[in-house]
Amino acid sequence: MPKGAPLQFFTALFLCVMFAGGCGTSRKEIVPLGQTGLSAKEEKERREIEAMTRQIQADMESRRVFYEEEELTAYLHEVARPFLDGLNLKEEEKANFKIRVLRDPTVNASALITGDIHFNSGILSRLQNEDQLAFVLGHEISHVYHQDVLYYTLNLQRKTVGFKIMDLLLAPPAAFVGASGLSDLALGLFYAASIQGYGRSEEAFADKFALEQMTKTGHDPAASISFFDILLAEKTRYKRGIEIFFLSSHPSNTARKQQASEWLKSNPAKIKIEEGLEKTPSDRFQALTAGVRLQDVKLNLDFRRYFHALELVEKIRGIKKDETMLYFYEGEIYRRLPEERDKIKEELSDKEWEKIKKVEKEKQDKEWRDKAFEAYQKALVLDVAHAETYKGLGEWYLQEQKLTEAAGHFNKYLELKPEAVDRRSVLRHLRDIEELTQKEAVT
Amino acid sequence: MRAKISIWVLCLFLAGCSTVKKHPHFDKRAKEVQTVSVMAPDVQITRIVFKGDNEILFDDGKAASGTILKALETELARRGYDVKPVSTTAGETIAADHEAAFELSKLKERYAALLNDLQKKKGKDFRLTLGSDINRFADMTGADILVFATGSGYVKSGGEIAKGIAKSALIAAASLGTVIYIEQDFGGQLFVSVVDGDNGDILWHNFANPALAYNMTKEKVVRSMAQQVIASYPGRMRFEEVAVIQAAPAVSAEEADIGRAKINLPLETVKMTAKTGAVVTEKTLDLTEAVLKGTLFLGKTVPRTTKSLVQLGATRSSEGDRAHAIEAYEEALKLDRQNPAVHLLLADLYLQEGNLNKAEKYAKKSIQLDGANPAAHGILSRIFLKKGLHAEAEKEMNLFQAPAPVQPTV
Repeated sequence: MPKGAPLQFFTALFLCVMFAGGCGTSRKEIVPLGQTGLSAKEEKERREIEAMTRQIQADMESRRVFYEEEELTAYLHEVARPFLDGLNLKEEEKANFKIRVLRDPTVNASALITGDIHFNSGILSRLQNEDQLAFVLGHEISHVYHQDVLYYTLNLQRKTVGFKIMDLLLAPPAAFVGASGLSDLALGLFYAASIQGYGRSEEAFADKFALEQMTKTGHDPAASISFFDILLAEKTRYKRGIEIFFLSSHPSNTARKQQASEWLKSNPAKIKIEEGLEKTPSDRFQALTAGVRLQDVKLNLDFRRYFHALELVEKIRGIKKDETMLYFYEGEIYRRLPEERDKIKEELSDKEWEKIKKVEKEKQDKEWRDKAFEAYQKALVLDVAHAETYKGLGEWYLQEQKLTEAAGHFNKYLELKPEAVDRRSVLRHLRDIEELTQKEAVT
Repeated sequence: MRAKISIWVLCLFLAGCSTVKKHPHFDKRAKEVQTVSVMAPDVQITRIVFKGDNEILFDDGKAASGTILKALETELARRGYDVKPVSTTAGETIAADHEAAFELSKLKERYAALLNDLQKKKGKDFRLTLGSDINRFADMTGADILVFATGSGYVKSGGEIAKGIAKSALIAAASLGTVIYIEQDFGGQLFVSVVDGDNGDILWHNFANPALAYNMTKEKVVRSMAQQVIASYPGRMRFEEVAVIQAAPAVSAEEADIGRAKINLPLETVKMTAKTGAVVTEKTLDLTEAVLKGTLFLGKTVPRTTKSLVQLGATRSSEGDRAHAIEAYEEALKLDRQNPAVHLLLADLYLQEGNLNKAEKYAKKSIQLDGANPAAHGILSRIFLKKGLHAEAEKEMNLFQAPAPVQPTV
C-alpha cells in the first residue's frame, strides 16, 4: 500500500459514514405537526424530547426568567394568530403555541417542541416594527410546525453514532503513531461542524415559510431585509451578542438576506397583494415593547454589556417617556466604563475596540467620566428627587476620591430611599469613607 | 507512555496545590464575619449517551445541589460560624417574590460569568464583585457573607462506556499492549465562592480540581467534594482562640455556673468538647471567656499557669508580636510538656515564621500527644505543602477533614 493510503482509506470511510448518517432526512419526508405519519421510533423520541423540554421549562419558571406583561403577551399572540390559522392545525394544537418574552439581553428567539416560542428581550428590543416581529415569529412557528427539533435530534443521533463507530475504527491506526487522543480531537472538530444548528435547509425553509405567511397575513415581507440589516449591524459592531443561536447557528445572515431579496424579486405578485392591505401600525408596537426595552437596558448593564446598553438608551430616547431613568442609566454606563476595559474588549468587535484603543487611556477615561457626570446632572434636572441618581453620583465622587461629596450624595440617597434594598452597600461606603477621612486627618 | 506519566504527575501536582484565591482585603474582612448563608447551588449533571442527544439528569442535579448545600452549611458551622439557612427562612420569601427570584437567578448567572474572569486571573489575589444586588439576599438571611456554589458533572451511559472499553481494547490489541488507553466514565467540578454581603465582593474562591474524576451522582462523592473545597476556609475563631480553650482544662460545672452568671448564658445553648475542645461553638468561647473573666472578677490572683501563659501568648500573637508569643508558649510548655495544644500553637507560629522544621517538630509532637485533634493535622498538612511534600500534605488534609467528634452537651 503506498504511503498515505491508510489515511486516505479511513478518511473516505469516515466521510461515507458521516454522509450516510447526516443526509438521511430531506424536507420532503417531514411530517408536520398535527399530521399522522411519524414512525414508532419518531413518536418515542418526540415524547422523550417533550418530557425533557417540560423539565427545562419548569426550571425556567422557578427562576422567574419570563417577562410578564399581560398586554404584551396578548399582542404577541394576536400577531401569531393569523399565521396559526393558515396552518392545518386543530384548535387545541394552536393553543399549544405559547409565546413568551425571556428576560435575556442576547439577540435570540427559540422554538421548543412543546410549541413554546421564546423571544429574548434582546431581540424584541432591537426590532423596529411589527413586520419584523412577524418575520421572526413566522420563522419560529415554522420550526415548531415542521417539527425541526425532532428531526434535528434524529439527525444528530445518526451522525453521532456514525462518528462514534468511526472513532472506534480510526483509534488503532492513530494509536500506532502514538496519537490515540488525536482521533477524538481531529474528528471531534469535523463532527461538531457538521451537526451545528438545525442546518441550512431548515433555516432557509423557515425564512421562506415566514415570508410566505407574512404576505398572507398582511405584513410587509420586505421587513425581513431591514431585520437582517439589524443582525448584520450587530455582527459588525459586537463580538458578544452574536454568539447566540438565532444569529450564529443559522446560515450566514448575508446569505439569508440575499435569499430574502431574491424571494421578494421573484414574488412581485405577493408584494402587490400586500400593498393593498393596511400597513401594520408601528406606534402600537413601540408602545407595547417600551417596557421590555427599558428593562433590557438594565439587563445589559447588569451583564456588563455596556455598549449594547448605551446603544439601546440612544435608540429609545425620545420614544420612552421615562427620560430620567434613561439619563441615570447613561450615567451608570459611562461611570463604569473606565474600570471595565476588559469587558469592553470582550463585547466590541475588533474594529470597534481598535477605535477606543486609539484614544489615550487617560483622555478616554476622563471623557467617559465627564459624560457620566453630565448624564447624572440631566437626570436630576428632570427629577431632583431621583434617589438612584444620588447613589450613582456618590459612586462617581468616590471614584474621583472626593470623599465629602461622595458621603453627601450617599446620605441623600438614604434620605430619599430609607428602605432601599441596597442600603447595606451604601452604609458600607459611608463607613469606609469615615475610616479614610480619619486616616487622612491623622496623616 | 511518557505523556501518560506526565499527566499523572500533573494530576498529583494539581491535587497537592492550593487552588484558593482571595480578595486583597480578605483577611481584614474575614475577622468581622459572624454569620453566613449558603445559597442553593446550581448543579447540572449530564448523561453522555451513545446516540449523542445527551440527557440532563435533573433529579441527580437537585440531589447533588442539596448535598453540597448541606455539606457547606455543616462545615461552616463546624468552623464556628452562625449559619443562617436560606432554605427554611428566606428561601420561601424568595420563591414567593417574583422579582427577588429573578434577581437571584440573575446573580447566579453573573456569578457563573465571573467564574470565567476568575479563572483567567493570574496569582492568588483578585478583585471581582457581584455588586450591591447581593444586599437584598444578605438582608433576608441576616448574613455577613453569602456562599455561592456551582457545579457540573457527567456520567456515561452503558453504551458509551462499552464504546470506551472497545476502543481501549482495540488500541491495546493494535499496539500489542504498549499503549493503554483509558477513558474516564464520569467527571465533575465544583466552584465555591464566599461573597461579602455588604458590597458583593468575592472574598474567597476555591474549586474541586476537575483533573480528578468525581462521580457527581454519588452522594458521598459530592459531599466529599464540597468538604474538600471549603476545607481551607478559615474558621470563625482564630487558631489561637481555639487553642486557648484546648489549653484550658475542662470547664467544671461550678466554673461554668460562674461564667454563665456573668453573661447570662442559658445552659442549654452551651456545647463544648469535654476533653480536647478541638471544635467549639461561639457560645463555648463566650462561656470560656466568661469563666476566665469571672475568675478575675472574683478577685482571684491569676497564677503563672499554662492557661495564663497561653492566654498571654494568644494576646501577643493577635497583636502581631510573634516573638513574644513564642516566648510565652515556650514558658507554658516548661510547665506542662505534655500539653498538645501548646505544641500546636508553637507549630502554627513557627509555620508563620517560615521555620518549617521547628513547625513540623511541634505539630508531630502535638499529634503524638493527641491524635484525635483535626486542627493538628490541618497545620501539619500546611507545613508539608510548603515543603513540597504533596502526598504527605494530602494525607494530613484527609485526616483534618475527618468528621468531628460528637460533642457532649454540658
